[in-house]
Amino acid sequence: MIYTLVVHAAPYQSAAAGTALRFAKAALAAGHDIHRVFFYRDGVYNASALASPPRDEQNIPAHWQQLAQEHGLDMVVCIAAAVRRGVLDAGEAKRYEKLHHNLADGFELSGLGQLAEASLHSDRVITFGGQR
Amino acid sequence: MSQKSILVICRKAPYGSSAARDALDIALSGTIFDIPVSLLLLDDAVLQLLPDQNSSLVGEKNLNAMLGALPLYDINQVYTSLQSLALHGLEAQRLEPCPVALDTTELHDLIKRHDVVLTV
Repeated sequence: MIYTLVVHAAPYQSAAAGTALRFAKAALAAGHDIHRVFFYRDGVYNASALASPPRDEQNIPAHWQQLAQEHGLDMVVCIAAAVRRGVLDAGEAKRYEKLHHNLADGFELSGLGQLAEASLHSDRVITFGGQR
Repeated sequence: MSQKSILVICRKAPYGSSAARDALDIALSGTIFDIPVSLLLLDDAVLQLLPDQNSSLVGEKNLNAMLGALPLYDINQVYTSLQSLALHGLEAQRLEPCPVALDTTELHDLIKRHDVVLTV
């Protein structure tokens, strides 16, 4: 089965981001493919390289990065949602004349078209954390 | 493959959160790929269709214009449920664009006949 996961929730306040992460691990472990993980709305905070949770708590952005590295996951962050919330890559930081950028390695900023494209190529599209 | 269809479901009132705008953005992006997209506004989301919204009072962009532009993106039909209309004492004819109001069975059929359902 080919899955696309859509993450609408930031890590920590809601359990949804952690649930999406564990679902991704379980699906890959069961031999399924993940075509893309698409981060939308507050879900873009999963891609902040500046997230610094206490050492005895899970670092969800780091876990996504690790999973992506192990499995070559395609992790796309909605550019409009991210830039609004201050999650920028080097290119966007330059465009908006900001001194810093904070998009974690392994994530890519792109448009909502990537969600539409992923929907076409996947057997299942599952949304995590939509209800707000 | 591009024969797949997408149903975008929103259940949230306008301006209380970004849900209405975010759902519309998803719907519009689908049409870029020539994917048939339908929009289903349930519960409080039916309030998105009220005409003459004065959103500048809360510093937000007006939804009416975006909804009015849906036909330009080949989204010609907006759906809601009879239950959602009754919840707010609204009549479909008073709303812009005028939605198709579905009963429970029709609602099930609408969801069933779309390949991808995205909820915001």
